[in-house]
Amino acid sequence: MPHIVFIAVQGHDRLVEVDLSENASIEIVHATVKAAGIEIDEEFILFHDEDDEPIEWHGHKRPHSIKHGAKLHLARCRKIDITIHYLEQTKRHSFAPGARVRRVKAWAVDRFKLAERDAAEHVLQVCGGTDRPPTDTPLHKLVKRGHCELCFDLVPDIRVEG
Amino acid sequence: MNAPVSPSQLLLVRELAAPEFRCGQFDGRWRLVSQAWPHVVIAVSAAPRPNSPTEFGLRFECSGYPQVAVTAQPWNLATDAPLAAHLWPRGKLILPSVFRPEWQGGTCLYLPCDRISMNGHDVWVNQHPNRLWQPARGIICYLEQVYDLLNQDDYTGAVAA
Repeated sequence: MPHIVFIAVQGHDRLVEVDLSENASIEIVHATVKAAGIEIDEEFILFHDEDDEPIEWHGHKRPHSIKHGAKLHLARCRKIDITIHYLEQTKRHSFAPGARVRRVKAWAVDRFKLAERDAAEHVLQVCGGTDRPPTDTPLHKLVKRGHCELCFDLVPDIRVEG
Repeated sequence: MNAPVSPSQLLLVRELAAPEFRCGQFDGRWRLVSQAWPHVVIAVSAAPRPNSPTEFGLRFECSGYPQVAVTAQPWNLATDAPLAAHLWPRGKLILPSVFRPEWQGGTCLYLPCDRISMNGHDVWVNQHPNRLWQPARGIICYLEQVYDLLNQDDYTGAVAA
């Protein structure tokens, strides 16, 4: 019975798909990623979706937490330090590398105490640019090479007009 | 004898089988409904709202894919026909600017990544750089935008079909 998982590797755009048997070892994950042409080394840490802690995977037994269709992350960063600016305020927090932009926005909305209507009308924009990443984007996809920090501005979304 | 398959059709089929699209299906963000080149119908999940559907169909026209942007029309999955205007998703601020049944007769979404809507809107390149068509990401970049629109607080629902 197939047990498909999707692996996002920090520094690479494309997902890697792998069929993990029940007796799969973590080496299978590494080998599949390398076979896809992605170079990784022992510094990469494996996370399950948005979990804060890395996956503990010993021997030839797939962890129960990895369900069919799960999303895994191979990240260089153990945590990603986030800075968010909103008006004249700034807040900081650390998130797991697989945490999605949606979670960061929810945290920011709570910490900046935005009203429901204001929250609906604001989005996260990467500082110093115009990139407003989709809310399902994991944070490790947005950090610069060699870095484990990221800065966002919480800005008003704009209607499509013209 | 079978008709020759165009490179665009092959590239679209490849994208629909790629991990990025399949992962979205496993996540429940969207699902492939049907394909009949140059069209593909995909259902995009929506956040729960009272008396509203759990997903909305989009019928994409993909000629020239992926170098040419796609265009997408809200689609009634039950009748396999254009979605009636009163069934389109509604919202408070952003969503009504994108889902506009009166625009182009309801044949497309008012998005900078939509082939029909981008015509004559050169200003969008600077106004909405994050909403532009990205050939390297293909149909995923369109789907991600629609999914985000239907799963944010701005979305207020629609009358269920």
